[in-house]
Order: sequence, then C-alpha cells, then structure tokens
Amino acid sequence: MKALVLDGRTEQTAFNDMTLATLVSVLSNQGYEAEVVALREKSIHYCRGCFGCWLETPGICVIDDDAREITRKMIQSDVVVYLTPIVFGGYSHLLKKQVDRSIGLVHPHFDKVGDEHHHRKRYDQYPCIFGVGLQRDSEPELASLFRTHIQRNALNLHSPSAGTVTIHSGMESEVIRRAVEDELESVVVPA
Amino acid sequence: MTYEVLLLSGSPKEKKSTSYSLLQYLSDALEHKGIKSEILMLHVVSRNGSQIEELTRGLDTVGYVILAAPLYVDSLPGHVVDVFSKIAKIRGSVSERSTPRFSAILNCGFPEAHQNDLALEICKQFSRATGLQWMGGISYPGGPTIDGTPLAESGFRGRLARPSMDCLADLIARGEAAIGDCTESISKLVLPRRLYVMASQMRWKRLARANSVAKRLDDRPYSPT
Repeated sequence: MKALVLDGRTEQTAFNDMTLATLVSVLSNQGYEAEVVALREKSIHYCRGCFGCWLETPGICVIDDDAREITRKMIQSDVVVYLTPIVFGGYSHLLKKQVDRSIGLVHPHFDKVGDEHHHRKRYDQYPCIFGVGLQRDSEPELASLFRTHIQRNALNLHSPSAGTVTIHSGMESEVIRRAVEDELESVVVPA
Repeated sequence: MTYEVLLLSGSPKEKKSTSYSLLQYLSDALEHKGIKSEILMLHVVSRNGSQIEELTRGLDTVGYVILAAPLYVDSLPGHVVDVFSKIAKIRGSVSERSTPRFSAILNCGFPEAHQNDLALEICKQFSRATGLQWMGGISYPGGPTIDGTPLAESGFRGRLARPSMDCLADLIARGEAAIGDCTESISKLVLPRRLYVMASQMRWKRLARANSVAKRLDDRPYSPT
C-alpha cells in the first residue's frame, strides 16, 4: 500500500521533525510504502479559480508546476497524509494551496451525497485521508475544527475512510506513536 | 489609509468574481451613506510583503473589515490563509492594536449554504487570533449565478443577495454590531435546488463545448496504466 505524506509544515523544529519520523515509522510498520513531499521545497502556485482543470484540460491543472505531479501521486496513493500546523483550525497555506490545486481529481458535475451535493467522482477509487495536525499548545477547539476539515475534505474527495490525530508539543514521543498507531488503524483502505 | 471600511476580496478572478460583485455593490451602498471604503485584492497582496504590512497597519485605522471569498475545497483559498497567517504574526507581536469589527461573506457553488460553515468558523478563529471583533459570517450558496456580473445589474439572479448587502451597509452606517438580520436572504438559492443543479450541469456542458472538450469532461489522465 502506498502512503503519500504531504508535509505542509511552515517551519521545521526538532519536535515536529520527530513527529514526522514517528509518522513514517508507524506507516511503515502498518505496511505502507511512504513517500514524503516537503511542500515548502516545491514550486506550487496558488489556484487561479479558472476551472481550466475541468474545462480546458479535464483532470489536469493548466498551471504547469509541481502541483500536477503531486496531484497525480495523490490519486495513485492508498492514503494521503495531510501533515500541517493547525492554522485557525485549518491547514497551513502550503498544504492548502496543494489541496486547492487538486480539484481536478473530481468532476465539475454534482452528485447528491446524503442531503448535500458534492462534485462527482472522476476516478473509480480515491485515497483515504489521514490528517496530522500540529499545535504548540493543546487547543481543543482548533483541533476539533481541524478534524471537521479533514472529514469535509474526505467527503468531497470520495475518500473511503479518514482519520485525524492532533499532536502538541507537550506530548511524549511514545504517546505520539500510540496516538498515530491507533488512529491510523481506524483508516480502512479497501481491498 | 483614509477610508473607514476595508473590503477584502479573496477571489483571484479579480473583477470577474462573485466576491468582487458583492463588495463593489456594498462599497457603492456605503458611499451613498457617506462612508468611504476600499477594495483590496488579497491574491495581489499575498505576493508582496510590503503590501501585507500596509494592510496590517491599515487594520488600526478602519472601523470595519469585511472579507468576501469563494469557498475552495471546504475552506478559505490558500492565498487568503497565507495573508491571514502573516497578519496574525505581525499583530501578535504588537502590544497595542485597535480592534476593528470583522465579518466574512463566503460564497460557494454548492446549493447548500451550510457548506460554507467551516470556512466561516476559520474566519472567526482568525479574528480571535488577531484581535478583531467577530461580527458573524454570511453564507452565499449558488455563487456562480452572479459570477462577476455587477450585482446591481444582475436582476433576478442577484435578487436575494442585494437585500443582504443593503442590510449590511445600513448596519455599518448605524454603527450596529450584530449582522444576524443580514444573513437570511442571501443564504437562499434564487432557484429551487433541483433546478439550480440542472442549470449548473448545463452551464458546465456549455462551457466545455465552447472549449471543444465536451467529450473529454470525464477524462482520467492520472489513472494507473
């Protein structure tokens, strides 16, 4: 199974380096072949809102930069990990711009999902989403928003399963490992 | 900055966007009441550090700040997150700062207004982190029905958005805080939901035909080979 870690960290510290290493180790132990993409090192422009990925080159963003290749990797993975500092309850701008640029993975038309409309599937299979949110201090309200964000994104991306874990700098490494292990086990990749 | 209300557009589509249409209409309504406002494009601000600093300083000189933005994958567009993060960082390092009122108007292409809720909650958390006074959010579903048409000229399509923008201008002119009364009209679709969805599909097909890609709309370029 393939796991793509979108590393949306805006700064590297010893603590969040350790968190990333733990995450990769847990993924490996649970049978994933993990690839980490440090978004801060990539050339990714902001989405222009032009809908060219639907109406000019369907499924491919018209901006030719690193976001195209990352988007391809996203749809070809079993799990995509969103690793990010929690910013106002959402993602860092680094992660958000990649997520914005991946809208071509779905179709412009709507389908009804429950009592809501969402964009129709373009592909037969979509990756699970696993959110790893980083906080300096524990802020449950923001952590809850982050969880909602992951769940909403999973719904819109037709992800078969999703999980979220929030890590703050007061946590011991073993606690982090167990939290990631437990939540990742709840993410079920279809056979 | 000599204006009293700062209007922030979060759409990269500049004047061809629903966000700009709403803000331009609001700006005109404020001007009729003798209130000066200015519209800033956040995608332009995000490219220039000095403009972000100027915008942040400007927050200390205005009474009201309003963001209008499109919903991008369930929340704010990336460039808006970038600008907001930088504003929070600058204001977080300043001990004395003013506390202008702040509201946000989120528009989405979905027919359900509540799909904007998460983005509005993120705006609320931004205001908390930067010492702005959160006055509430306005949710606009079916935003593409306007799609850059000046709201004043949008006729039937803008008939539910205009009362909310008029209400917001009145409220700002009276110096009132709660925007609750201004949220209802705009939160409804101008068409029945099923009709809106049908019109939306027809619009995509028409635009695809115009680009000669109607038969390629279902392409799967990243399918594993």
